[in-house]
Amino acid sequence: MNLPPLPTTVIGSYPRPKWLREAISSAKNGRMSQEDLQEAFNDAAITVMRDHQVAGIDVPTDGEVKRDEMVEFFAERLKGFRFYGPVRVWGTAYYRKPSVVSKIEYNKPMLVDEVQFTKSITYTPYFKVTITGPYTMAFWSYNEYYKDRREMAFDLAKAINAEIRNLVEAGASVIQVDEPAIHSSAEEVEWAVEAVNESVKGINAKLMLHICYGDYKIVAPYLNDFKVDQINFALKIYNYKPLKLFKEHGYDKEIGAGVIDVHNRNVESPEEVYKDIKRLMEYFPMEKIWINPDCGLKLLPRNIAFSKMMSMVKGVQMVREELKKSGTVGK
Amino acid sequence: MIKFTISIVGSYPRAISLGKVFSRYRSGKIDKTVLDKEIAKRTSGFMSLAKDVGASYTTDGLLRWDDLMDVTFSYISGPTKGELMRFYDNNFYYRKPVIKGEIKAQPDEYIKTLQEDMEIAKKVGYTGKLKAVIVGPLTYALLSDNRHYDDEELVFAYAKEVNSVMKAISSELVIEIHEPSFFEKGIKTSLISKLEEAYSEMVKGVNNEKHLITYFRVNPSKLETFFKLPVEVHGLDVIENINLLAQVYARIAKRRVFFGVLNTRNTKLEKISTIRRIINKGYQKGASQVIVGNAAPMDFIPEMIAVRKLKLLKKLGDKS
Repeated sequence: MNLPPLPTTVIGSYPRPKWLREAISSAKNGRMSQEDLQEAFNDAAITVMRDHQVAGIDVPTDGEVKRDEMVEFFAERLKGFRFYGPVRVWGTAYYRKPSVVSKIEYNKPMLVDEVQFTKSITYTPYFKVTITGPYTMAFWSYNEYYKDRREMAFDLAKAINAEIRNLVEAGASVIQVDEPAIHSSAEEVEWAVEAVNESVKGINAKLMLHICYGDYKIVAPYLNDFKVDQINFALKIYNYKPLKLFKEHGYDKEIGAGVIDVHNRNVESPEEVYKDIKRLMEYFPMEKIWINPDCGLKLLPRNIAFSKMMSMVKGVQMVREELKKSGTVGK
Repeated sequence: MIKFTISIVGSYPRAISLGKVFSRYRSGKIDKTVLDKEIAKRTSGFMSLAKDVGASYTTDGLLRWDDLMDVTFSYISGPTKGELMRFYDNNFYYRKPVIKGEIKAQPDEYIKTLQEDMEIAKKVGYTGKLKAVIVGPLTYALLSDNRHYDDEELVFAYAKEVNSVMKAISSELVIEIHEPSFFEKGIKTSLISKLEEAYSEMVKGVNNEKHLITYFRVNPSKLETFFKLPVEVHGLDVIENINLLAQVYARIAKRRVFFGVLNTRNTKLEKISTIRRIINKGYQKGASQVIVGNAAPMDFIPEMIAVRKLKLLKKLGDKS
C-alpha cells in the first residue's frame, strides 16, 4: 500500500447527518419511500467520505451510515436470529440485542452493496470496510439454540468468512474485523482467537482487527496469534498505559493507536496528538504505527467528530514534518 | 406442592420510551417534574407487575438510575461520575465513581426516593415488602476509580458511611445489598478476609432485614466466607452456576437463602421443572427459607422477556 508514514484511518462509524436521521424517521412513519431513503443513505455516505477527505484521512470508510448497529445489522441478515426488543447498553443508549434461535447460516451478501457504492465514491483505493467479528456477534447475542457460545461463534465465523470473501471479490482491499468483546472472558479468549482466525481464513486483503474498552490483560498474551496484519486499540482513554503491557507480551504486528477519546466531547489539540504519537514511538517503530481514534465516532455530534479527525490528522502531520526534517523519512 | 417466596431483585429494564424522556430531560427540553412524573408512572407499572407475580419482596425497579453504581450517588457525596466502564462481562456500561477525597453519607435524595416508592406501593396495592438497594462495600471499592484511599480503606470508609445511610432508611423497608464483585477472580484474599468486619460495621445497629445479593459467578472456595457475612438472607445466582449447586446446598442448612433462578442474561425461558427441583433440593438440604427470583439485574434482557420470566414464577406452585 502506498501510504505516508503513520497512516491515518478511522475505526468505522461516523455521526449520521441530521437530515439522514430525519429521513430514516420519515421512512419509518411512511412519509418517505424506501427508494428515497436509499438515496439519502447514499448521499450520507458521500458526505461522510467528503468529511474524511477534507480532514485528510488516508484510509477512510463510509461512516457505516447505512448500519444502525454493529450486531443488529448482521443479525438481521443472517439466518438463525430473532429480536425481542431493545436493551440498554448504558444511560439512554439502546440496541436490539438479537437471540439465536436456530442454526446460524450465511444467507446472502450483507455488505457487498456498501462496498460497491463506497468504491464508486472513494478518493483513495484504500478505503476500509468493517465487519463485526464472530466472538463479539456471539457474545452480544442471546443463545437459545447452541450447546455453548463456542459452537455459536464458530458457525458465525463460517458465515463471516463467506461474507469477507464476497467483499474482497467486490473490491475491498482493507478489511477490519471488529471484536470489542474479545477480551470479555479469560476462560474463552483462547478459542475466541481461533474463531476470529477462522473468519479471516484464506482472505487476500489487508486485515485489521479492532479491540477496544475493557481489560486488555485478558487478550494481551494472544495478540500475536491473530492472523491479521494490524490490531487497532482504544488507547487515549487509558492514557496509553496498555502500551507497556503490549510490549511486555512482545506484540509485533502493526498497531493502530487510538489517539482520540470518542467518549469525551473535548477536542484534542494537534499538539496533544503530536505528543501522544511521540510517546507511541517510544514503544513501537514508526513503520508499525497507524493512527486512529479509540473507536467509532458515531456517538459524537458531527462537528465535534470532524474537529477531532482534523486534530488527529494535524497532529500526525506535525510528526511527519519532524520526521522529514530529521531525514527519518524521505522528503 | 412446593413452598417458596418470590423476590424481585435489582433493576427492571428501562423501556426505550422512558429512555427518551430521560434524554429530553438531560438536553433541557423538559423539567424535572415531568421526568419524575414519568418515572413514578413506570415504577407504578413495575410494582403492579410485582403484585401480579405474587412477589413477597421487590425493589422499585431502579428505573430512576442509569446503573447500579448510579444509585450510590444519591446517598454518598464526594465522588464524581467518571468514564463508562463495562459492567463485568456484559455489554452494559456504568459510570465509575471517581473518588478524589473523603466520601460522606448524604442519604437525603435516596430517602426521599424511597418514601415516594412506599407511596407508589400503597397506591398500587402492593402488600409485599419493598427493598432499598445498597451497593456492597467490596463492589463499591472495586468498581470505583479510587484515587484517595487504598482498597481496604475504601471498603471500611464506605461501610462506615453506609451504616448511617441504612439507619436513615425506613424500618418498613428491607435492605438489598448488591455485592456482584464478591466471587470475582483476582480479588486479594486479604480484602475478602476483612469483609466480615466491614459488614459488621456497615450493619451495626441496623434492624431492617438485609438480603445480600451476589450474581454471575459463584466461587465455591469463597462460600464459607460468604455465609459468614452478617445478613438475614444470602443470595446466589444459581441458574448460571447449576454445576456448582452441590457445594452451595452443602452450606445452607438452617439458613434463609435467595436463589437467582431466572437468568437475566439470556432470553431463553427457564424450565419450571428445573426451578422446582432447585427449590425442593434447597429445602431437602435444610434451608429454613428458599426465596427465588431473577438472578441479576434485568437491564440485560428486553422488557418483554423480563415479564415472561417473572410470570414463570407464578406457575411454580404455592407461595409460602
